[in-house]
Amino acid sequence: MTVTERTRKLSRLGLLLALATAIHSLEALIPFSVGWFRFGFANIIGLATLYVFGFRDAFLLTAGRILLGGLISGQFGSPGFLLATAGGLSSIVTMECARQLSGERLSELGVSVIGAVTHNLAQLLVAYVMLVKNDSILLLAPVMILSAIGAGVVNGIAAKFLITRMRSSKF
Amino acid sequence: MFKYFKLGDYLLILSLGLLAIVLMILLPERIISSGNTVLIESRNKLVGRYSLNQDRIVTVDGPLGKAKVRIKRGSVAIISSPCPNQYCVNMGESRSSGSALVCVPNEIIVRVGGNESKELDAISR
Repeated sequence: MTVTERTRKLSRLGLLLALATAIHSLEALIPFSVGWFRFGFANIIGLATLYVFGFRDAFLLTAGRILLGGLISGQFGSPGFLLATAGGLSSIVTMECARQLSGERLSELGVSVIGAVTHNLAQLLVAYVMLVKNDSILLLAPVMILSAIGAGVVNGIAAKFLITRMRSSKF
Repeated sequence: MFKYFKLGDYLLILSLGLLAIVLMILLPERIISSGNTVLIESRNKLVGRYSLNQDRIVTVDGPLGKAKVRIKRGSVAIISSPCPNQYCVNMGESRSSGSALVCVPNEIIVRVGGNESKELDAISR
């Protein structure tokens, strides 16, 4: 890798991290009547980074996005931050596994859906084990899976376009 | 747009959707256990503890007068009350552990008890 290539990669990853952090923070401002439902648009960037730059960069980008987003929104260290960390990191790891194991059988759409479902279920599990400790919240699992499918499809389609653009652009 | 995505994607979405629907049907029965005892409180004092499985009608004294609580086929209901709004009567039947029927004017609370750990007592955002 030449110096130019390395510089280009660094600047692109920096831009992606900034974008992911901005999306993450702005999404926290959307007032939803159902408090636990989020689209997780920041995952579009995570998924695109995974496909374009690989697992290591995508993992670091997701961790950085959650950390910076937490600092910006004032959620750092709160239960919400704990949930975001659990969901975000387990989701990026599972998406990498799905991408490697499925070979040609899944496209970005399927990987995105798997990531979204993992994200929600990991959050639910952490909330159950560490925060709520009440069997009743497991009743949310089906609702979480269904909303994750919806969010995963939307994000997967968006990520597909972003990946195509990123691969063909010369910036 | 559809040409970008693969058969595997659609199968995955379909099977996850089915899983969610199956869980939606199966989970409530396993998690929400029906209770086994009825606890009746009047003026903040426990005035009676009954089994949910024995049918009976209990008369409870409150500040306004006598209310009737009916235990029938594993569920409990307030069937008559001297209170003006009758909200407690309109709450209908209750059978799951942790639920309660409340009459505020007459200061009567009818709780369904069961496995303590399964009572709803948390708010999550």
